[in-house]
Amino acid sequence: MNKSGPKWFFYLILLIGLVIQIKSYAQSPLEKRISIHLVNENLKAALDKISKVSGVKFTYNEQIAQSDLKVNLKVQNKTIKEVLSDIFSGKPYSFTLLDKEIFIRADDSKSKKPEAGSAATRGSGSGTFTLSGSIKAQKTGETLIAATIKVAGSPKSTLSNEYGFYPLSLPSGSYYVEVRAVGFKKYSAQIDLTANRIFNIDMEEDVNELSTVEITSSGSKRDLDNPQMGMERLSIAETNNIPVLLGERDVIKAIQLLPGVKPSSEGGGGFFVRGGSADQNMILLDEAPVYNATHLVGFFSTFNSDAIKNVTLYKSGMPAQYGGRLSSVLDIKMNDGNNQKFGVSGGVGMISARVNVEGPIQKDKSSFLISARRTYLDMFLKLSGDTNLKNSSLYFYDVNMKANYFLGEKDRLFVSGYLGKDVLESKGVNGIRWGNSTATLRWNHIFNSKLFSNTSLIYSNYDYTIKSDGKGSTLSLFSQIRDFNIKEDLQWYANERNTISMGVNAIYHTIKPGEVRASGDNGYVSQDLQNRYSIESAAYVSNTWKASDALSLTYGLRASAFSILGKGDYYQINSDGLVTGTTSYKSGEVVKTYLNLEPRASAALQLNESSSVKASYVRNVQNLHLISNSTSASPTDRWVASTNIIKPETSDQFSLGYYKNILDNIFDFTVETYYKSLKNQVDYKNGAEIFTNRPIETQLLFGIGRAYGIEFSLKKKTGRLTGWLAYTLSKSERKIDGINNNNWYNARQDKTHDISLVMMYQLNPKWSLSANWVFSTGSAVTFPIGKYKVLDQNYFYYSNRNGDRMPNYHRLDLGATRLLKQTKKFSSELNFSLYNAYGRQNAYEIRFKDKESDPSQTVAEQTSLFRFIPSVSYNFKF
Amino acid sequence: MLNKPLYLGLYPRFLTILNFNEQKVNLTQMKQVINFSLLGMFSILIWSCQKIVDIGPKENKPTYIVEGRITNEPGVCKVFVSKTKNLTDNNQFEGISGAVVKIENNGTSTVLPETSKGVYEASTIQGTPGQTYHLNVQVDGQIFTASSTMPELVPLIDAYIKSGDFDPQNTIVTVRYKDIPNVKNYYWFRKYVNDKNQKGYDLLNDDFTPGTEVSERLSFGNETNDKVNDLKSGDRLKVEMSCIDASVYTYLNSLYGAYGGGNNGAAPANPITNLSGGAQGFFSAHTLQAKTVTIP
Repeated sequence: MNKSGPKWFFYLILLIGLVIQIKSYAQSPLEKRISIHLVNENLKAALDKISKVSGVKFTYNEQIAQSDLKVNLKVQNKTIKEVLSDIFSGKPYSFTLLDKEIFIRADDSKSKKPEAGSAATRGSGSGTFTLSGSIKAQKTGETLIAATIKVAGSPKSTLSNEYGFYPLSLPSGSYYVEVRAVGFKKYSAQIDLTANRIFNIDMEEDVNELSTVEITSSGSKRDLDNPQMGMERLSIAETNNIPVLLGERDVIKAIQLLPGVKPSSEGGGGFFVRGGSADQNMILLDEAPVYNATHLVGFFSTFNSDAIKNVTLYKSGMPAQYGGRLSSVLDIKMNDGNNQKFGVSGGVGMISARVNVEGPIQKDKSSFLISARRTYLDMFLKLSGDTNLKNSSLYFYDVNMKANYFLGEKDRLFVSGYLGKDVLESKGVNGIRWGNSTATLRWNHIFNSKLFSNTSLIYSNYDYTIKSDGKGSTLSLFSQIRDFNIKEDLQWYANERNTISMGVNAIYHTIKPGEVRASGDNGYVSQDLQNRYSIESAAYVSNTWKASDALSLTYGLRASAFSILGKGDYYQINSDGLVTGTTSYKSGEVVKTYLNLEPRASAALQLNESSSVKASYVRNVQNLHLISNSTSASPTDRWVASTNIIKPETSDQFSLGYYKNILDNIFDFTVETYYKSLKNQVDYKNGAEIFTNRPIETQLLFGIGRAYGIEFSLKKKTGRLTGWLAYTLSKSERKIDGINNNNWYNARQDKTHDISLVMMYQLNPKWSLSANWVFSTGSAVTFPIGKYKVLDQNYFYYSNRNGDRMPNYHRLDLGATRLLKQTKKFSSELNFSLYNAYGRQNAYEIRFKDKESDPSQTVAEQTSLFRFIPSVSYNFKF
Repeated sequence: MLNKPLYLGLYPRFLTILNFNEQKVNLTQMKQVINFSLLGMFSILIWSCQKIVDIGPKENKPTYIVEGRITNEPGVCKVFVSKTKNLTDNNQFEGISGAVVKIENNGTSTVLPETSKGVYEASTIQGTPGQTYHLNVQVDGQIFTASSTMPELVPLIDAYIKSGDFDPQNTIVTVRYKDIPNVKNYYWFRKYVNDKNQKGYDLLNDDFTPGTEVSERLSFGNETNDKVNDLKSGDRLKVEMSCIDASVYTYLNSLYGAYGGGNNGAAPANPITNLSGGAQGFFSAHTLQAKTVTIP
């Protein structure tokens, strides 16, 4: 008996069925063929019957529903388009396709016969007006970023900007407008446009209080025609459901699961984007750069999800308004604060506790938000009997604050701030502490419905102190980078087809590499390493042009300048790394200015309803370099500005992508490929010293890099099961003079294969489950090829840099959330997670050493860290 | 599989975080800081694992290793000649016989006879501060040369254990010396516990201590995982202070990159040798002083 026979036949049927399904979905509703017989039916009844027979939905308002138009029709195998044309011919109604539904509206112009010489009728160019306003969440008043506004009967659609502002240019008339945003119910309205009109939209939430439930907005179509590529947008709701180490929800951990983004090390908080290094990511919190986005050496990020509204990552195609780093821009926007009612929310996890307070200052208009978080486990150290532990501190805290003021219909003021600190200390004095602080003041001004402006004043500071107490003597090292920044951005919605953005930006950087303070008998002399001053400025202009229905282009230029200023000494160094000359500059004197042009261009060609191809080219310049001996950014790395010797790093990235929406927008399929060429890359000399009062340039080596790869992703956005599957195949290499005999070698962050599978499942209204599975090739490392004895000890002999691989890495994390209570006034939930559920011993590092039991032998010893780490956290909301 | 508290697993990470390594440049005491902090926090929650793994066969490219020194003390002029071995070989020192080893200074050239396999030494010569010495090794048709200038002697004034600095796992010996102003000085401290050489050594320069009297804290510890080797009363802690020249400082500073560790810091690489001709290792002319402290 042939067992396999029926089996593959079954699969064949299934496959055919699937193909037919896809085919039928891909077919436009207007092209559907029906056979129907209608006798004297009311319009509404007729449309309902057509719906029943064809499965196509109609949308119309009350006026149409009550129309007394009678329908008499008998057709065989005609398209719906033909059927409707028949029904409405000569009648004041018209129909258009809106996504997957057919919209019927009253259309008076149809019934009038155009008279010769008659005055203004629609379409004679009597006026194009703008509909504009802001889109907000009804419940909290939070502005919504990237909500989509579509108009029936036109290919028109637009997105709300970072402040929730949208403009839509249309000829005068009556329109049916639909607005969609992730996590919110679809909003639609009939609007008459006879003059420029402000129309603010409040969207109703589609989510449960705390956890993201089923995303029901069916097939919220992503913008296939938008030339922006290489961009990933995460909602906080999505990131909150991803199980993470120790249960602390973390936007950086969520980003590491996206295609093209690799985590720096087990539990580490740095990340690499498309083969770039950890310092090549511009991390912005409400426009302020954050220099060290990690707490506790990388286990947690400095971003408290309670305070965050939206996270956008640009891997390529960076819009012209961004600059300063080569590999990515991580733009994080804070919540504005609930301007409807006062609320408190928070939670307790294994490591930290958080509380969030927000509310209106003036209902509907102004609001504030304060979010704070602190670790609490260190309090238990005080109870310890061990005097060492008793006097130790190991904690971090962060506070996010924001307030926004409504100054008038056209003006809004925002103030935001962040303060965070990490402390690692023992016996009260020895230790390191580090932290970021940022503050932003922003003024939104709407000149008119077409011109939107944002002016920002930004402050950012990162510093750390290392202190050591040696019984009678103390030594401390303080290092800091501080920025003052002023920006002006304009968005000009010039006409239906052109949106222009332009702006200027200037940042004044002060870097204090090290202030050494010594006291007591240790013999150290207090001294200050010279401060470094510079101004980084830029001007940009960019236009997004809808060339045709199918083709859109963005082309722009960012011109950037980096001026190195005195007061300070700058050096000439010979090829052996020895100082051959010094020039002293006075305060404010220009040492050198680097000018660079950064073209930013991209194009999108829509192939059909559900697919498009895009291409982009961007050039980026980076003038702040993180000098680090470790693979992931660590608190005591040193930021160094370009000098007369350290040139600006540049990158040129080409990328190409194909995008397809599958099965009625239930799945998004994306393929993107890129090639990035890097210049003026910096690395360390062997045995270099970071903390030296010699010129830092004597410790550095320079060269080039390249990275290329292809990323696939399949995302499911609706239904009870949502999530994504991502696969990246890539390579990242460097060629530095003085390393690896000046040959190309794998960058440390090179990992050939990288797979992430993220799933979130709404089991029932009370329980939601989540899981992620990650797999990646081990990173490139250098293993010895031999050994020898020197100073009576064993040392190892190396050949090619990064010519070996760590073992493959894979891990499964599981999570579950149970909604405990949900009333209008209060909701709470309990969140469980298990990190590394099957306990894979992933190699954190491999060391070569003498065998413990037999020191005459050498062994390779692998250390792995986290296995089976459970966690519980409780979250509440008033 | 060996279970250890996490701090041992994270130790190398913090090591690199503070650019801190066994041959400490500044801020020696950080080691303890990290130990205590992490021990308190994480050993409650998490344990790391160690296991032996097989990384597969590696093809060694046999390279000559020359380690030579001449000091201001007699009987310490020695040169070791060997080759790199396979990782699977044993750890015995296998010297290469038949090399011609010469040290030349001011026109006078001394041949060092081979006293045991691969060890070439002469007790007849000793070095003088300020003099430059040239090493010449001819072996198997290859010639390796190096030069080193012996710096001025900086006296090691004192070595002692402050009260409260004793700990079975980590005892601090404080050393005192006075740096010479207007000259770039480099210091190398080798440590011995009961005459057994410790792998960790300390390297200092005078960038932050020009011409001052320095009190530096040197860490002595149990470098194994066996409690049997913990420090106890009666143990003799010897400190050997050498004033070295810049090329030797560079070598010893970069030697850390070859200790076999984890790739989580700077990528491992061969140290920067002051030998030319293709050999690894170093040649140093340095002053030598020692002081021993006994744990009370």
